Amino acid sequence: MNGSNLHVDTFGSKGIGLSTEERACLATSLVGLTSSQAFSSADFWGKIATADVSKDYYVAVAYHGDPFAPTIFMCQDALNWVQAPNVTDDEMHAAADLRAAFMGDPAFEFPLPNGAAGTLPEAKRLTAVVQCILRDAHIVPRGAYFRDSLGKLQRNATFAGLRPHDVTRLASYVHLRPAATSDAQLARPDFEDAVDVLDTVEHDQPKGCWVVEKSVMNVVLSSLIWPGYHHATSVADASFASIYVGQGKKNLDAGFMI
Amino acid sequence: MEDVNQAKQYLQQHSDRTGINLYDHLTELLAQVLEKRPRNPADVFENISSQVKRDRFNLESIQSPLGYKKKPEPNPSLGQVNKLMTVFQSVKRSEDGNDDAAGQVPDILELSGLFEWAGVSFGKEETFLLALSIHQLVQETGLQSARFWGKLSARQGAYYVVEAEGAPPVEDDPEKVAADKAAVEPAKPPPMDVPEFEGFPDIKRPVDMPLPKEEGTGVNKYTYFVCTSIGEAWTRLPDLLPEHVTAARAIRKYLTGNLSTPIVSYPLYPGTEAHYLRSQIARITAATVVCPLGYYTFDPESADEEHPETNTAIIVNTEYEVLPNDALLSLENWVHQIPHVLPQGRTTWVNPVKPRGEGEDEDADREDGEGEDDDDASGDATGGASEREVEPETGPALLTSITEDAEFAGHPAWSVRACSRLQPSKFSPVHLRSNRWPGAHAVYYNGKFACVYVGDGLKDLGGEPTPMPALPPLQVEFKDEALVELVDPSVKDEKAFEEMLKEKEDDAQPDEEDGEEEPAD
Repeated sequence: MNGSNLHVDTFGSKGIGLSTEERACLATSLVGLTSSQAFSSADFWGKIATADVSKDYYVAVAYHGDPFAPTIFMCQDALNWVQAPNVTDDEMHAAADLRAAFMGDPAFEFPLPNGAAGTLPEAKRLTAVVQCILRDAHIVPRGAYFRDSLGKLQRNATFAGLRPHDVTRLASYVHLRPAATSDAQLARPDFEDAVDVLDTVEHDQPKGCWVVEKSVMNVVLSSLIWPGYHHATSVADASFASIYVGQGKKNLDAGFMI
Repeated sequence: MEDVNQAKQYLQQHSDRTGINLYDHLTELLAQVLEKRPRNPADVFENISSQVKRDRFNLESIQSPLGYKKKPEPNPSLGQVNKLMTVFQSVKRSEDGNDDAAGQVPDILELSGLFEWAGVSFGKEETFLLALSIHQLVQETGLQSARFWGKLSARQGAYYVVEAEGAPPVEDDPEKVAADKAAVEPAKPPPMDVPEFEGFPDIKRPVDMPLPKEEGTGVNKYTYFVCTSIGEAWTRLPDLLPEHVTAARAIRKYLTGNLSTPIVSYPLYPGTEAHYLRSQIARITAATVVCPLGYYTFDPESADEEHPETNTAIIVNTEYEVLPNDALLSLENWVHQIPHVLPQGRTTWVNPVKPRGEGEDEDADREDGEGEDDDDASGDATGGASEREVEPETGPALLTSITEDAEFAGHPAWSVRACSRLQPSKFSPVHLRSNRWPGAHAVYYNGKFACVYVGDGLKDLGGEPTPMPALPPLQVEFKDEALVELVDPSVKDEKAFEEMLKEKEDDAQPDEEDGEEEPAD
């Protein structure tokens, strides 16, 4: 997907939209971003809402071709993208536990949760949150990616979309993340070893953490663990898209609320 | 001649495998060749022959042994589409062109354009269908006015909510019927054959009356209709009792999408999802529905002489001057439009302590009771002591500015922006968003304003961990000064004591007497 292909319209059923000005700015600036560092694609990933509505973050994720090595960009005006700083694993874990709202100031320091010493600047928290969501919640339809004969995960150019009876089943969606423990060989009658290399969403805990909403044109899966993450798959053709519009906070109480 | 006939008969033998005979096949083949006149027919003769054979394969039905047809998979959205078709066909325009009698509905398509600037958009087609559906609701139910309140997401689907005014009262409301019955005939226990009982000692425990429901005013001023997808019939939500609201404040659950689900929670919620949904709608409305300063004013005619501060009738201000977009960027120019819901669960305070005679229920009639700025400010309105003196709960009055809202997690409860950074301000709508209830938006543009809610119906935790429900205190041991606990003597001690007594008796009086002391068992 190139930057100009803003897929926000597919999420209308969730009430998510972008204003005309935002679309114009994003479509233009993302094209510039893609070519600035010769990325193969730069997609609009979503918005993180802050305590000040005029300072919400727009986030874009760019790839050089490896779906597991994203470069994360952020901006607050949809025009001037800034690369978000890299984070360590510890910082990622810390960011998933933070409950305070984003403030809208990239230099704001959050005290680390669970009594740990130190602080986490907001820009790093943003990267950490985006990477957590990519790891925990980002999903694609089964069959959209496959492992080629050299062992590399590729986008499937002949993906024809999910069948109508599959499109509402959770077992048809897989997490796009490196650590894959797929037991599909035992679970599915139509197991394919090139395609079933990623773990499905079916066994995500707590049970019921994915909400499936069907509309006439597509099926939208929303996560309750990272509220605000939505994935839409079209029932008519092979297109699919993800978006995040939320506060950047993990719902640590999801199990009690379901 | 015989040879020709024999040859012909031979050629007309039907094959026992496929049922065709060579005579007919050749006839058809030559007819095709003569019709199509291909170049070099002799070279493509075999192809034409096999083509003719293939075309002959004509299935009468799927049941024939070699027949199969790929069954067309029904479009899974067909059910939804059929419902939407009914929406298209249902709206009747009144014949004389006078649509005003049908009920007031704002221009939803125009408002959706405003909301899109705020980042809330359902898509043009869906919004159009929603508008049609709301018109249909207003016509069928005879509502005075309706507005689209918002959309709440649930675990299976979502709820579209419409706020309506002037809905006809519900006939045979089962709760009301039961309550009326209870008022008329207090429940009598069945007569039993027991001797007259003197009665229990009078323990002074105050009895709480259940708080009365606000009829047609306060939290129940508006009626709410919900549907789970556009095209479905609208369901009316029940009116609220105060305990529904207080219980909803104590729990935190996702909606499931089915109005009759019971809520499994601690503390126990006294109602089904319909009541819980209605409570959340009431809380969100009271906290986040706002309007520009000066648009509404208090209705002088309905002012209550004794309690001017509880006037809740507001009317559109005829002398309102439209503020420019810039002015609405400052939070002082936004005010609350809906009365605040007190911790009791009502918008006007009612003394919960049952009056039991003079002098016992005098609550401290303090003028400035605890001002509750928000739903769950911790103020405990009930005092301690044996005679419960209850302070009246107060909250911010209607039409107070939103700057008075308590800070939330260290930052203001509301934030505002001009939707367009690049256009001049007169073309830029103003977007106001709540931090306490994420998903509550208000938009203002050149005199038009509207509020909407799109979210999961939950209050933001504000950076705090989920509040744990307060468990009831442990029961304490019964204490009565008259009772003294003694240790029962063991058998050894008893025997020793008896022997001691016996020795004393033997020493003092040699006669045998029955032991006074009975051995304790």
